[in-house]
Amino acid sequence: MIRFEQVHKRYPGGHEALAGVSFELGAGEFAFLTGHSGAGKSSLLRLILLLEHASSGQVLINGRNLGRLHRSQIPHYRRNLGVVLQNHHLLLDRSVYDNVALPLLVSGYRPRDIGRRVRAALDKVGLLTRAGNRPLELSSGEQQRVGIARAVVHTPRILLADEPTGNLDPELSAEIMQLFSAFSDIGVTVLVATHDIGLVGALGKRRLRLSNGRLAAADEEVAVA
Amino acid sequence: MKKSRSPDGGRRAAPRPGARALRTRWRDRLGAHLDQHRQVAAHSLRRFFATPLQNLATVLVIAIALALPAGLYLLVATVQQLAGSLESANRVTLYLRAEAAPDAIPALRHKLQRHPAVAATTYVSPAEGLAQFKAQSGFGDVLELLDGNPLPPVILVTANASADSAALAAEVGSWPEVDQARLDSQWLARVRAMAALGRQLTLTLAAALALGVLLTVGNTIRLAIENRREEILVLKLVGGTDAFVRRPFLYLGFWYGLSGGVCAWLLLATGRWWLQLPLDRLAALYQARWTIAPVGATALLALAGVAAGLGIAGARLAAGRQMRSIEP
Repeated sequence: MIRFEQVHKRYPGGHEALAGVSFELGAGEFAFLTGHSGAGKSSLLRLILLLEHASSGQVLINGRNLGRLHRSQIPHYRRNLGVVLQNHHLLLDRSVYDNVALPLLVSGYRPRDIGRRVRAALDKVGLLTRAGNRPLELSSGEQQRVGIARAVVHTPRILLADEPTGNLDPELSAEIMQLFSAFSDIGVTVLVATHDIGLVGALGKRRLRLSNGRLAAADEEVAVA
Repeated sequence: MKKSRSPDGGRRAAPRPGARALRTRWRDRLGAHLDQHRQVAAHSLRRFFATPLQNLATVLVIAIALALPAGLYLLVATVQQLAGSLESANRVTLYLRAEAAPDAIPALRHKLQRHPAVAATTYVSPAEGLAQFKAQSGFGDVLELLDGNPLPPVILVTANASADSAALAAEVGSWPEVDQARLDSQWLARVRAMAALGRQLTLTLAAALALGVLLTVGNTIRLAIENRREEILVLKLVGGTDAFVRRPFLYLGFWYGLSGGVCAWLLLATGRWWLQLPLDRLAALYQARWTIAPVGATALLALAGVAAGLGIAGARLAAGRQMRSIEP
């Protein structure tokens, strides 16, 4: 599903964010991406999201080399991804419902299907009663949950999350992880970048540890606490 | 937070990941596409009315840019209509010799009426001519000072539509009772030439102002895109194509154009009403009835259609390049 082959990412100015990273995640696999700040976690996620291109090496998703994807194919590729980013990227002038509905709108879902799916996604993150609110009327944690609902509403093939529980209390963080885990059970590949070692340990999932742009441990299975 | 049944709401027995839309039938996809257009059109219209004062300036610029060439077109059409009506009258004015015997005039009219090129004749006696001149010229008091009536007897000859009125004027002008036969065709030729020039001017002005509308709408849309940069980034992040992201701005351009077109029509209709009264007064001096070309439903549809098209084109030009430069 996700395959990195000797991927390097160098930014203008010479900083090398990723240096020869290789790993593979199968369909339905759940993995944590850990490492210190600046280790290259976000760069790795941005390569999968096609927000950046690898300087060398190959990123393959479902066997397709992302480096060869035509510009016009990128939106259709991204529709198969769900993404939760640190700064929630919510539209402040739209309601929670409208924000969560965005991936369905761009994919051409009919209004009745959009309504059903959005309500289900908001129900999962406990925000069904806040559907009519604007993001600024919500707490930071609630905004994070709106971002999570938006990431899962279209049942993507790959779910990417960058510090998805950073603003959530431990109980809610665990529930969100259970939700991600349930998605991986139905075949969604989940890759979560996090600092929260406790969270990683609690779920006992595969861990990819980055250090200075290099993969320190590609197949480390964390023992369930 | 509720515990999971299945991640997408528990409504599917065996849910599978992936874009479900790919599996929908083409009719569903078409329906969804139309639904989306309806939503985007309504949403952009709400946005358009959300800042009425800001948009009013743009709409008025568009309206004036459209009303100017359209008004000129109407003016030219009116002048052409006027020249046409005068030309079709095909009239030769015969100024008779003052010494012509009064009893010779009926015989002359009878002779004219039997002429194959003549459709009708009207006799205007010197007294009638003087009365008309007093009524229409406003020099009544001055005319009172004259010792006598200086005006000659006149016969107005209307030639047949198919007749050569110049040849008729030359022929009857040589008759002994006729002092002068005048065919007022020279000024008609001037009017026709001016109307042709007016048409060219209208086309040139229309092209220049259409470009102005494109730039005005384009600039407004460029600002709107910049104001919604964050929204564009998010839409692209979740898989919005350039066409999808561009669509609200095209509709916004459409609303700008359409409202500009409707305002231009209102300006024209008001201008027509405003000018018709003085034109009626002028026409009365020539014993005619001149009407400015109508500004009706067809004009409304034409203006609104052209303006909406220009609005979409301006928005497309502005959005095309700028959209590609905004990437998450």
